[in-house]
Amino acid sequence: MLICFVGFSFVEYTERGEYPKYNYKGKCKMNGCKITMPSMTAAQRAHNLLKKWKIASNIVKISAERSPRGCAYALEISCSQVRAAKNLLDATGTPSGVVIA
Amino acid sequence: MVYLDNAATSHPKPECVYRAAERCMRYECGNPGRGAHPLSLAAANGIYSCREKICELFGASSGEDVAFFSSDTAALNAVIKCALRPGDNMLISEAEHNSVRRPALSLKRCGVDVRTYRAFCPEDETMSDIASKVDCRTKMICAVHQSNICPLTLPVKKIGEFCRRRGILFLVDIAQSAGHTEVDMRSLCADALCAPGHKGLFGLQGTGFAVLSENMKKALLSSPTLIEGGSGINSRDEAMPSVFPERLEAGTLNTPGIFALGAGIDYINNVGIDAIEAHERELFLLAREMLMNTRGIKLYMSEYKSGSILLFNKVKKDCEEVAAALADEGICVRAGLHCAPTAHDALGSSGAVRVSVGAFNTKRDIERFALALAKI
Repeated sequence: MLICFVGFSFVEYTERGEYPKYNYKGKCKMNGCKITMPSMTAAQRAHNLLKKWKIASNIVKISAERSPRGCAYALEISCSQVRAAKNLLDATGTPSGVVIA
Repeated sequence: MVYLDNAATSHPKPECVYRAAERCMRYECGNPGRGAHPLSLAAANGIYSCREKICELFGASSGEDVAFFSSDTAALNAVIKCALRPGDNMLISEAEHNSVRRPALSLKRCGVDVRTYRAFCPEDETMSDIASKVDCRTKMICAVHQSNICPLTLPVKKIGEFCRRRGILFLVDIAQSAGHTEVDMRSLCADALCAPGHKGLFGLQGTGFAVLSENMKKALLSSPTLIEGGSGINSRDEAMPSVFPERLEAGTLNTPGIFALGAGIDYINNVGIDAIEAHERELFLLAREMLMNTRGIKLYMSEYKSGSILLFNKVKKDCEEVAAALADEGICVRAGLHCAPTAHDALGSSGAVRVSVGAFNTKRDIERFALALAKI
């Protein structure tokens, strides 16, 4: 019974080709500019807002070196757009932190 | 089987809810907010999407106003216990479920003055009673939007406006109204709405949430948190973060449950909440008429002509016996005090049988219930 279930699960997993939906292959290549975010929820909100304004972003974790208080998130954005993104976030009252290279 | 216990939990769920839970568990169930790899981000994305759906459904400002909990009870406990301090007073209605009554009474033992106002009376009398019981120390008024034992609806808009004028926090328990009727946080002047995911919103058990206003967030920030633990951010800090909703969400969220809740809200939006309300009212009126025309039935609040919950007793029969006899006929109803003892007291009931209709019930279900009841 267990073997059947595992087999079925595996077939579903591979044949559908839906894993993962939030596909790492869809991530944009960025050149490293980031805007720090106060939380994952804030990062999601900012990411969705920027998407509406056609500014691509990735949610990433900040390096341990840059986050002395512990785990923290940032939006990775093309350096050519990061200033515009930050201005947009500020103008719409979307919580965000500082721009880091 | 005929399921008429939707006030306890809705059954069945829309097909999309089952699919969403399964799909999440198979393909998107990383730990949300605990990493930036694809599965963690997929989980966080689905959860944020559900926050936005709740935000839109209840008229909140942003997804960050929505905090998830393991139940409506957990959400109510967090809001009540974190917003109040010794010396404050709070008002609760006599119609409250134990999810409000017990945390309030727990605070009473810690020096919070808890006062109860009348709800089973005309609206004006409720408002007069509230006005007579508030004072300069009143920090919060709680109101259950719709009773969990009968068709009573509290005048929440009037209470909200009263609170707004007095600068009092207004907490509304929408356990029985969410998904059944339109609820708009702004028009109610509410500072917090708390709801379970698994009743009218068709989500899974193990989900609940609070929608918070800026005023309520300020109040919650000024007090210690109720539960502390991992939040995925600022891990070196000794205290929970000051940002919402993470401040209130220690520990891993119920990701499949929240994905399913999002699908349940999609279903409601597709069908239309007005259509659901109208359908339930039709069944309510049919059941009401049937109960009123059955000999030996005492129907509580029989003058009410809308809602989704009916409460009755059969003369000379214990309510639990009636529920058991109905269960033997395949009819699922709930008897007893329904975790709302003061509401039963106000109605003069020491226990009764509750019938609660839902979106998936039909007229045929009510007819089968009537036939089964007639046999008892």
